[in-house]
Amino acid sequence: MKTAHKRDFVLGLFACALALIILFGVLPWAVKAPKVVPNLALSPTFWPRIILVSVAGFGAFLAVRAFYDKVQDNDPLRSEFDEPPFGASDLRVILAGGLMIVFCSLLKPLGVVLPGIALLLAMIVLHEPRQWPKAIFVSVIFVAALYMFFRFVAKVPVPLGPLNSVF
Amino acid sequence: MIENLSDALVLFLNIYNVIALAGGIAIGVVVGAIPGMTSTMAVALTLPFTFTMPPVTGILLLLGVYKGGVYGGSVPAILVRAPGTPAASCSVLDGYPLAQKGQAGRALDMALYASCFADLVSNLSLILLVGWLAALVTSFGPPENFTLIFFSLTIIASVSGDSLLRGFISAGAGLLFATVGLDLIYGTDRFTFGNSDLLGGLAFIPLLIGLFAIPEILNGYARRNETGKMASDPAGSRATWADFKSCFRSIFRGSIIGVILGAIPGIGGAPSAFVSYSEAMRRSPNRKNFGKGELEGVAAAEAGNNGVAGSTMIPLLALGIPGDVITAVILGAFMVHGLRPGPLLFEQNIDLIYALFIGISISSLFLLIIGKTAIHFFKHIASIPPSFLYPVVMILCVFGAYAVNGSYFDLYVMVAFGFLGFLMMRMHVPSAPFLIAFILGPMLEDSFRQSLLMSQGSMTIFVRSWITWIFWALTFLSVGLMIRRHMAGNAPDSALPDPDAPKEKRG
Amino acid sequence: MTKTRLLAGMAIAAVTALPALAQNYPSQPVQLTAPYGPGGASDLAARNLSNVAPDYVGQPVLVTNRAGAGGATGSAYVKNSDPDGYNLLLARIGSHSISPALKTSMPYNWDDFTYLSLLEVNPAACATATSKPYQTLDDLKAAIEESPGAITYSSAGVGTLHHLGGIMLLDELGFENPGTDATHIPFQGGGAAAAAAATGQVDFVCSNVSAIISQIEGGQLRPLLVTTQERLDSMPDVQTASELGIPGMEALVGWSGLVGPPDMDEAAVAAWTEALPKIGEDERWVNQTISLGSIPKMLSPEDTVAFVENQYNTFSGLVDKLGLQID
Repeated sequence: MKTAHKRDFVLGLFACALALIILFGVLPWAVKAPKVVPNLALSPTFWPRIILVSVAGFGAFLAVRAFYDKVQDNDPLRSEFDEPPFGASDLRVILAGGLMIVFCSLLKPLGVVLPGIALLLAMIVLHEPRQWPKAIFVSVIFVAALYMFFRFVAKVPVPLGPLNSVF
Repeated sequence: MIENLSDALVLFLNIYNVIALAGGIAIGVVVGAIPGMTSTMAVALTLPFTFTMPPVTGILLLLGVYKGGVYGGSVPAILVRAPGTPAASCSVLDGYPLAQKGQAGRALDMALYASCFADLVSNLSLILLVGWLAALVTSFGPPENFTLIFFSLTIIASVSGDSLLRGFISAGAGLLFATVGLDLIYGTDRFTFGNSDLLGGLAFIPLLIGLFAIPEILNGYARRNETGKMASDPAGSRATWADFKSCFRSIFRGSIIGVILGAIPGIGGAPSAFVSYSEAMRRSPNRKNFGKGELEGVAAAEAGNNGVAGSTMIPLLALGIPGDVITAVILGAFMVHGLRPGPLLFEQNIDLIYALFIGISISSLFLLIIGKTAIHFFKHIASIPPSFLYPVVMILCVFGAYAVNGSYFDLYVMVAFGFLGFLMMRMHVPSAPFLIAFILGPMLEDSFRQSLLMSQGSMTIFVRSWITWIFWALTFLSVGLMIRRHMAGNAPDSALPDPDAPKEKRG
Repeated sequence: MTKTRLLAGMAIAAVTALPALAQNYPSQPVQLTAPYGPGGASDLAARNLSNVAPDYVGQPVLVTNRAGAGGATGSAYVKNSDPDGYNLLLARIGSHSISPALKTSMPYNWDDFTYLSLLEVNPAACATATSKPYQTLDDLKAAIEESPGAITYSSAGVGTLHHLGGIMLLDELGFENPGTDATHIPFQGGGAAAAAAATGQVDFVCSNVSAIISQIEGGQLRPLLVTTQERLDSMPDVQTASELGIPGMEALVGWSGLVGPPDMDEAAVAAWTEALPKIGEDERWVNQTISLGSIPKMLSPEDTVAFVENQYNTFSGLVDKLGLQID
């Protein structure tokens, strides 16, 4: 079985399972319907149900088909497509994603501006550590300029957080 | 008539009007080019400034911002895969791959030409066909909208790429996420989990940016040692007259689709762009290349989304009905000046209407000039090294997504869908079907249930008028064609792409 | 944020006396949340206020649209924000008296807020397309009696003035099941609701006058009644609800008000209650409000609470009587 097929199998199985879990485990309590509905198709649950059943069906089909799909294995053009979805080079991706999560968690206590500067700086340094002096400069100036634009031109008060008491 | 026109000329020929129109377009292009800042927001922000202006000046300013914003949205869509407006999300599909191939300049040029041409067609339709199109619009009710959207959904098949099944799963996820929030018909909670931020549903812009831009940014960290592929060389290439000629059929078709869909209240630019794109793809001999950097795809998408820019004014001016959020804001601008759009305005203030028409008809030219200048400036994005470009785009997205609703929750949504989008990218699940389904899903469901309420549960309402029949016919045609291609083995639905599919003739 | 602000506040308090702190409000821009999208009546009312208010409070007032869930998303946001007076909300009839009466699981109650002032009222009217055969309210009533459920009315969504207006009209006309004798068809927003009525997709609509006046004047909609006590100058031929024998409809009056989070800072409340009556006399604000189709009406905080409470009680009484609560 080729990687592409394994990938399809996993994807199909996952989609199917998730759809079924939502359909039977989540939907009954997360989607509320009025007691009396004049027509089954009018109920707020009708549409989500149809979608979930279809997704489960497509997922199952995709998973099953992975076993029957006939392709030549030795086509060089397909090698890129046949790469495993994740690899060792993704460590940085995980770090970048982690930075975004940290950024989100800092929003409530610190506003957007300070975490914004930190995120920009950290992401530049993650990409190119040697550029850090330039990165500090760019982060502060760019975020400050953006803040000015939104505050005074677009009239959107982007939260300053602790800086509020300074300015 | 002649007298009215000369009165109108006097009313229009005023340096402030010209400045307002040109300035509005410039503002719109710049704001639209910031990921997350939509033309709607730009128009809403400009509104208070028009309070003190004469009506013609104020409304021309707003129209300028709107038209500029619709075009401006295509710039970040092509350069950094972060569509500035929902309608521009279709331009991502071929625009960004073109940019990756080093043809960003060509794509930007073509987007501008297609936009200006479609804008011109739309403006002319507004001026010449306002009465006729307004009559057509009044025959669109929920059942007609349902069949129209149902037909539009068949384009999911065209944008699914190599595998229909993966595309359908992606679309299913989009439809499901679109159901989050209060149910329109009964007002009950759906998947809100008691969270008041979810009551209104997932905001569109953060989701859009998350799904398209963030995966690209994250991926930029995986292949650090390669040269950055984002926005390489936008200046070096240009669209030629031959390019324009070869895309002209799609541009013209897209313009007409835009004009018609734009005139129908509540449809808007995004569906129009996608329908135009899918039509262009269906008819192109280079069908296989769509989604991988086909210039005609950019042209069709932009023509579709700018084709609505003039005709959305039709229901507003002729009937006093705002068809979308932007025309609602423009209606507000009319009202603060004590003017009420509608048939009466044509009787009482025809000189004002003509003055607006004169302004509108030259706006396409202004857009061309200003857009060309803007491309000149945007090319500098190319010289930013990737280690700075990716983080900077990320911060732009953060500010843009925050500004939509002033809500942290939207930023969480953006990042969460960014991760989802990244996983989808690596699993080769196309994100375009997700997006189309997310846009069209609520329209489809709402119009379906509204129709059933109107008919007291009878399904016959879905074939009540000739318009519904036309859309059913188009749907069957489109699905039939798809099945035929599938049978012929030309639509690959396989875990692996078809590397050497024969370039087939038009089917 | 709160900690730092507390420290900063303590620092200021250390050098100045407390009354001076009160005079300091506002020391930074005030954020005014409009709980509906741009271009709507709520957004325009907010922007109109933000245009004039800085002259009287001394700081910019920045409008943010936080739309969703019939005004609930934006209202809940302001309810949960700092009560320091820098987060205010433009409250509307839908978000503050109808939705809380109709929906049991709202993230707030109508009286969770610090009411600063009423700003304006919008009279309502019920109308039908001129292409429909109903010339008078009696014609419409007869049609509903003839085939219950077949007559439809459009609304801007569940829990809006349009929605409750339709139910109220049927209740006042003496129908047994106002919830089902005419069919409620919600649309996305007031514009779409007006459009559906004007093009004859539905049989009638009860809406704020400003949203349907151009269709009425343009001859697409035929007004059947207005909910004001006196006839409106703009349509002197249209009978009032009282004249038609259904005075209960007079409770259906749209309004906008300025409110803050619960237990809002007293200095901030004082600053606004002082400024608002002056804004109410500012010609720019008054003219702008009138041209948007509303009637300027500033009320003191106490009178505002009484006004909203009265309306809320009327609506929740109706909802209870008919068993229309939504989970």
